Amino acid sequence: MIFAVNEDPEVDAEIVDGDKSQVGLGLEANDHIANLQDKYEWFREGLDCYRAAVAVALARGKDKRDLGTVTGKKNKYSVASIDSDGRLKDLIVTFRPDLSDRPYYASEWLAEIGLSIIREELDNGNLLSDILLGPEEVLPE
Amino acid sequence: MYLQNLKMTDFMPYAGTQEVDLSCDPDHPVILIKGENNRGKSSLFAAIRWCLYGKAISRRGNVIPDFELLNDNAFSENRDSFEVQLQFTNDDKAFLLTRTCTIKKDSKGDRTSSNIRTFLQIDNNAVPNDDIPRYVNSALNESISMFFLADMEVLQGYEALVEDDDAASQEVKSAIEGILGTPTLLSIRESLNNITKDTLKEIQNARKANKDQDQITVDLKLQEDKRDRAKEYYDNALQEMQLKKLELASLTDKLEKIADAQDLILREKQLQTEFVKDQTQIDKSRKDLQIAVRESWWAPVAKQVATKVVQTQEALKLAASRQAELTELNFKLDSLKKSLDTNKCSQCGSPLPSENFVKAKSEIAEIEARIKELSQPMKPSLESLLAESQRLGLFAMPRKADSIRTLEMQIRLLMSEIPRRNQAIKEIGQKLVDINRDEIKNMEESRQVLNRRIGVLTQIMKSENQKIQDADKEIASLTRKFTNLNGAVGQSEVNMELSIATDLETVLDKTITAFREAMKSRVEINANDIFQKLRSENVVKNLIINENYGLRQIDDQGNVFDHKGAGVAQIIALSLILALARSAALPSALVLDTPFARLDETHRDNIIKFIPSESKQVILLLQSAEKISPNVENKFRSYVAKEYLISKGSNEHESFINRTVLEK
Repeated sequence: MIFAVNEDPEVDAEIVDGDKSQVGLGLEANDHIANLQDKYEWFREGLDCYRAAVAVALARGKDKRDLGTVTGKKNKYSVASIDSDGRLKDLIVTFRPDLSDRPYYASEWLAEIGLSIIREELDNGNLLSDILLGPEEVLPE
Repeated sequence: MYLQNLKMTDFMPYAGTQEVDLSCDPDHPVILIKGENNRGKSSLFAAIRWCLYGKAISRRGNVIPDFELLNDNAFSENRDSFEVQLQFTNDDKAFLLTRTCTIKKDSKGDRTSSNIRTFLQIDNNAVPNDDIPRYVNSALNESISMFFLADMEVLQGYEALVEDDDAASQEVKSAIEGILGTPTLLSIRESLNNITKDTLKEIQNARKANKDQDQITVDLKLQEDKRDRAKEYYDNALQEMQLKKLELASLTDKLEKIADAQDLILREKQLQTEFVKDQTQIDKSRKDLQIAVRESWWAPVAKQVATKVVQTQEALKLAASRQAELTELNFKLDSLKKSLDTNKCSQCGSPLPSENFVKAKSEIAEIEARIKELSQPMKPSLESLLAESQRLGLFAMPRKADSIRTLEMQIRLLMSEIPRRNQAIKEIGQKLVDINRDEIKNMEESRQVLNRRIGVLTQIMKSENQKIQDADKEIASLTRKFTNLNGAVGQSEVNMELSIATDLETVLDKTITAFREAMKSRVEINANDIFQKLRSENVVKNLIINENYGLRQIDDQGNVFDHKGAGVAQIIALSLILALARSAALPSALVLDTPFARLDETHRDNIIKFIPSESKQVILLLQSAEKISPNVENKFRSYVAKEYLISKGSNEHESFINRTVLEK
């Protein structure tokens, strides 16, 4: 097992095989999760928001550069709880082979971006189903 | 009973059909039938008895079996039945009695049993079979027949019979009393006794009826109480219902006046119900949506995955195509090289022309260049493409993704109703701001309570009304029973009836005793009168009768004189028979078999002189040898209506009875 130096000194996270065993989010992302759970009630738990947000970011082809400043980042979920079947890791690796070295590390910024997108679009009146599934295809008459 | 005609067919010695006309008139009351010993006098006598009572009695007093009564000649000629028909009158009615017997034989041909049929016509009307014995006994009761159908050889010692205290003696005594008419009185006594029994029964019934009446009175009281109670409950329920209906009417009136407010309250309630229902549905759909989102979290990439899958599949196809081309080129290269080495066509083996040789070399160079190109490593590699394809398989569109849109639309639609509904509730609340909702609620509740109570009261009234009707029916039934019993009671009358019946019984008992004594005295007087005329001794002797109708001789000193010969005994017996015939309540023909058997000529003369005056019909069966004094006989013959002679036939088993010309 190789232990890497934690990039963010505020985040007290274990490093396993070069990647994270616990993932964290900044204050803004946490606020988004609280908002999505309390206001819209579309997600049962925060980790449901986390995973969906990663998928949204990947689908929208976002990069780490698209992420603004993250403050107040703290560990939030263990990798075992957000990716018990390894599917999250596979998804990141499939869509972003360049992130295959540390997919959970990448999942943090992907989630930050995805949560921001979901929050913004819902607040703008978009449908959750449009955000997650894309606009409904209208069949030609 | 007076005999008119006797017809015998194959009966005892009388083979074939033989008929005896027994009719006579008051001036000629005597029928004389003569015959030697064992010729058939007693058989003729037996024929009369058998026809009347179905029994033929031997001289020894035994009943002869029926099958032995068939004439022997008839039996040997295979005739198996015999018959006796008797015509007689009784109480001015004409009787025709026919008795037929059919004999059965066993395998040896011996007589074994018989089957008897009897027919009786009275004045040409057939009598039902079961009634025949009753009608015959009414003409001449079997129990007294021994004195009217008298076999003197049997009867001569009759006193011994009456003196014994056995069943036979009792029978004789009863028979004597039967002749005298005592049974009629006894019958009246029995009827009276029955009346007393019936009266006692009536008294018991009356007592029972009284008990029943007491019970009915108690039952009536119970039923009346039941009815009164039901009536009371019914009236109470009716009264309460009238009050409740008034209350209900008043309440309904009040509620109608605030009907609008009631409608608004109702609408508000409906909206609140809808709200709760929608909220429940929203909560459920939201939970389902949350589950669908959890299980479809990678849905956002599903479309890209689909595109990637297509690309990967294209790349895999291309790789496969390159591999196939490479294989084909290698084969072709080998073939060309072989042709060049052997100078022969690789396909047909013919020598390779020189121009083809050049062309093949050029072709080999092209193929080698292409093989080199195709052998360059693919980017991405086939392995990575296969791995990619496998990974992409995990991210196809999730199964539950479709429900996300449906559920979200449903939730949004339901939620969009909430503000509109809240607004409506709010507006209703504003309209009802001055209305006392509690009061309306209380009034509604009161109305429901009143309606329920009225329903209950209706049921109570129906039930109590039914009870009243049932009790009324029961009272009517009990009253009828009571009235009927009243008719049956009258215990004082019954007591009086009993008293009269008991008194009558006492009187009748005394009368019977007196009658018995009187009749006994009469029999004694008549017997003495007859005895004095029949006897021949000069010694003054009288007969006295005892309790058992036994006749004893007494001398003039009143001493019992028991020593007597057979002839005297027969005279005494005959005296009794004739005395009874004189004293009989119902007179009847006298049939006397062998009346002179043990008598001397003097006594015979006495009897012959005397007997024609003793009955309207006297049938005498005499032995041919019995002689009577010529002067007596001449006088006697003037009373004879018909005379018959029984004579022997061609063999021992045959007798014939023929009427003879009267000797004058």
